Amino acid sequence: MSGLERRYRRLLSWFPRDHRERHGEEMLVVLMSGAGERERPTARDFADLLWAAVRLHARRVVAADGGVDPRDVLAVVSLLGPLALVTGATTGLHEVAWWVRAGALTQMPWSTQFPDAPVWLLWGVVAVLVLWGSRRAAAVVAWVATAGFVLLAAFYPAQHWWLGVDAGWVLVGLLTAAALTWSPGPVRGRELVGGRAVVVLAVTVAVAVGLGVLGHRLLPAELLRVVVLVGGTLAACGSRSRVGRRSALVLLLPVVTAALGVAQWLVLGRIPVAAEVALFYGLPVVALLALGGLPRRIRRRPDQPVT
Amino acid sequence: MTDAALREPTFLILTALAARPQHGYGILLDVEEISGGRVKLRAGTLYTALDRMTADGWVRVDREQVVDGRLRRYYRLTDEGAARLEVEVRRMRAHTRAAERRLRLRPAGGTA
Repeated sequence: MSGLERRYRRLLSWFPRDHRERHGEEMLVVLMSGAGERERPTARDFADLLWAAVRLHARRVVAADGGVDPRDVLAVVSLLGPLALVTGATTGLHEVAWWVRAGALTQMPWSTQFPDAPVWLLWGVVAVLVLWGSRRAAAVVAWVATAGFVLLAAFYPAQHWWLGVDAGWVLVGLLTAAALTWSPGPVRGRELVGGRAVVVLAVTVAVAVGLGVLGHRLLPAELLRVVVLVGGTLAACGSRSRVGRRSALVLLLPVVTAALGVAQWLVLGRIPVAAEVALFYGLPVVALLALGGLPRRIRRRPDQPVT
Repeated sequence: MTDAALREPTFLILTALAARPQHGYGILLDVEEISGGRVKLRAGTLYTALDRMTADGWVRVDREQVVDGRLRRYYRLTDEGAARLEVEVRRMRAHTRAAERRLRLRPAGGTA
């Protein structure tokens, strides 16, 4: 290998991996063919390749290259979303655990301590229906559960901060119901991430709920819970694939909005309700659209499978 | 399909592929020839454009060859790409005609 080729290879290493794998050797031939007797890339070559690498990376970040099909993202969400949503029951289950430890479960006032129980129970039913293969029934129950979020927000505004940090649950619920109704569905989702993903996410949810119940408001346990949720969801969806990473981002919206909530309190303090809605609903939706997690008019490469 | 004006490199690459499939280096040389030596595309610009045009469905891989142990990939214009080029040619032709008409109306000898 000549010094010139080695230098060009080094410049090409800045390109996105998929582009390098597809075009790297071909680009090298073009560069070498146009190099003549030179021993080093010219400054214009350097600038051109650097600018091209930046543009290609930027296109991939926003999925403008069409390498991510939002329908596939929603298919994975339709498979794993219901299971991920069960994690939302953690706070209520902590209450239940407290009353169990007190030996007074039968006296627990469910309407004040765990009014959202029916909604999480419905998402558990949706998860079972999805695994059972009853997609249509799962979609119907998912819409009922999503409507439940709205009812809870209307009648129990103090139970959860539905317009604020808990907006992520509502968004994932809505997207999961929509995905079960209109996306290629859980069967396609299973083709993309495999059956193992369901097991990995189920274990993740179980551990996260366990940590939330046993370590409620203990900082180390809460932090570990976030690590488990992020790591487990990424592992389930597939952190090496772009569809997997975007699916994980959708499923982790409750973590995102919780983090936004912490940032809001630290930086802004109390803000008007309209600003809360814009921050906790608008911002995540805009981010998902920008990152190709939601449907929009972008073509998939005709000659490239989705990775 | 958008009718917004094509950028010059995009127009020239589509033109280079209009008559026959070409490999990357062939496209670079052809673009230079089509533009009368004025536009000299570089590899980074070419493959960024091909990436976008492939995603848009205007260009696709025609065939691959291995020459002297090196991969040579040929690209061809799709029907959609040809239609887009045709739209651009019509747009440029209309602008050219308008410019010619206006120039003919211009008073001889300079400013009005």
